[in-house]
Amino acid sequence: MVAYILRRLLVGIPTLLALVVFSYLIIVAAPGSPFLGERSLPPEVLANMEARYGLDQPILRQVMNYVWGIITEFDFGPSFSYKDRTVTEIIAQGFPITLTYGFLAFLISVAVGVTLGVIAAVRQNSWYDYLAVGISIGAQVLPNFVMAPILVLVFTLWLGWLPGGGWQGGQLPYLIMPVIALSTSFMASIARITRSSMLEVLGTDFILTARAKGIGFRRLIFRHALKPAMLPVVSYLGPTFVGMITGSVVIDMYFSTGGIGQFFVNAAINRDYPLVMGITILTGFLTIAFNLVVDVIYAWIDPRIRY
Amino acid sequence: MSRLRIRNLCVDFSTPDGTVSAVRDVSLDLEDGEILAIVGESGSGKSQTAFAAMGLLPANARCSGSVCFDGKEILGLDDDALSGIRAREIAMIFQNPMTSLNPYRRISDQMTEVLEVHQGLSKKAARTQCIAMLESVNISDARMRFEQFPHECSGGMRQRVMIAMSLLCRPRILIADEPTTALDVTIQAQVIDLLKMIRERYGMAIILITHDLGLVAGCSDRVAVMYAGRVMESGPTEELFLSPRHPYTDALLKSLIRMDEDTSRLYSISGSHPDTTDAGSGGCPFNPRCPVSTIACSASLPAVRTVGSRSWACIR
Ligand SMILES: Nc1ncnc2c1ncn2[C@@H]1O[C@H](COP(=O)(O)OP(=O)(O)O)[C@@H](O)[C@H]1O
Ligand SMILES: [Mg+2]
Repeated sequence: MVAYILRRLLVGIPTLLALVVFSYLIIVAAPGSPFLGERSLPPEVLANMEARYGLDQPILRQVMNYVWGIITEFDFGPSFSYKDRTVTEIIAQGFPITLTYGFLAFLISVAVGVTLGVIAAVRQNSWYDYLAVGISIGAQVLPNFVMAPILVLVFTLWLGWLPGGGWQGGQLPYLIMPVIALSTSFMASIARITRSSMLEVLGTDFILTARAKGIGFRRLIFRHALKPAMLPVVSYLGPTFVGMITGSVVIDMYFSTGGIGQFFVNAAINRDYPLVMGITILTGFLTIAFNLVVDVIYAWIDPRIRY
Repeated sequence: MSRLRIRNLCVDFSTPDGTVSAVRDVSLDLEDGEILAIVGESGSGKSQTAFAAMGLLPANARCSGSVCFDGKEILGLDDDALSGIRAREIAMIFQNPMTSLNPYRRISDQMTEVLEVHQGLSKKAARTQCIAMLESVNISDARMRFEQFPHECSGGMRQRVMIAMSLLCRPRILIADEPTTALDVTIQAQVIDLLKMIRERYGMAIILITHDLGLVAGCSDRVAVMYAGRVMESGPTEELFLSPRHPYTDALLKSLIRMDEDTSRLYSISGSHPDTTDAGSGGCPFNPRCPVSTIACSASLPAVRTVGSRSWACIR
């Protein structure tokens, strides 16, 4: 198992490298330039700036320099659009924010989603089931960009209970709306996946055996059905978790939380190549890491899987 | 009084295509120490009869009639009430040993929980009993098998584990639903021998459900032949084999492959098992395929006739 994990991490290195090269090529190939802002610069100045950041060199040379900088000095370069700040600094500032509200939203959507899904499945076709399915369909049609304005309308403008935006070091009042807005639709998906996989597990032969053993309802659900029913949920959660902790543009924009979701979009608009690359690499790394985590959890749940 | 007494049991399923009557008016008795075989083609309602008795029917099923264990009505009890019956008084094993054990849990956990729940034993105390039970169903290396996951054992081994697990609380009745159908022929014989041994050792009653009349000959005391959800004929195994009273039983016996006869052609019953959705034309369900049917056979359902230990539902 340990050997397997190490091997997977080793394989992750070339994957990440390929991600870096392709993203770099794609973003540089996109029309526009980092230095073509509102005011047009004289050609000499432009050439000067491009030379300073190495953008005048052949593209493969640029990629190699970039990768070399990361490997030797863990240097992700300066940001083009945020003057005097490095990509590392920006990510170090923004990532903890998205990590905080993303992780909380993740915990809540898993806890609520799994509970709703399990209840709906074990009480199939009862009013519990209809209520749970109803709630999750309701939540499904409320993605974060719909939830955010509704929450602000209700809790900030009407009731005046919560601040409409800001972060303030992640104090509770500032956390509540971003977390709710981000979690609802994920919660709904998790509830749906849990319900259908639980129903499938409850129809298997080994559940019939367990019922014939007269071991009681709780034991049946918690000792026999829950673990296998979590398999599809776990594979959904891997990429979802990464998506949630690397933040949401909508949340960052709407609530001015200052997370990296917002930086990423701004960077893309401004052709801030190093910042786009930095956040892409972070997301890529997390994706590889959590795919591995999913596989490890799979092996833990299902003893037939051996690596 | 019989240990288990089933009277007028009916099981209906509501499906999108209408009501399926899987079990119709089945009555059976089971005495201690007896092996009762329920034989019938696939779809004839054997499993649903057993599931109804155990309270294991699917959600879309509705049942009526009566199932009495030791004179106490158990049909229609909820899971809580049945937990005093299941495993303690009536245990059940299933057709496919490959899927009947939980693949995500160790055999040890699946076995000990039976004793933990029903006898309040600690895991440690349960462990000794479980391993002893594995040994008594002829599992070699019982200690090692006990710690394994089901996928590490063969099909025959898993069925033995199922049997051992079902015996832990010393139930009065074991219902074995096609316990050998999914196994190799050589393993089949071993499992049947094991069931006979259990009957001897614990004096328990066994309901052996099978579609294989040949399997029944060597081990059961009585046979009930089911067709289209009904018991067509029942009686002591030997008598029923020697002189079948119902044309369906007769046809089944003829279609057995006999080792001692040189038959160049296999006998088969023409036609196919009826669709259980149609409510029945009112006549004998076997009538369309019966080689000796008369006009009267399609008029009304033949009443069950009982003579001594034998009964059959045919007007002839
Ligand atoms: N959940 C269900 N819904 C509808 N019909 C069912 C269901 N389960 C079983 N049946 C029907 O009940 C009939 C008897 O099934 P069963 O008792 O399993 O037969 P067998 O004698 O092969 O064990 C079959 O025709 C089958 O199609
Ligand atoms: Mg069956």
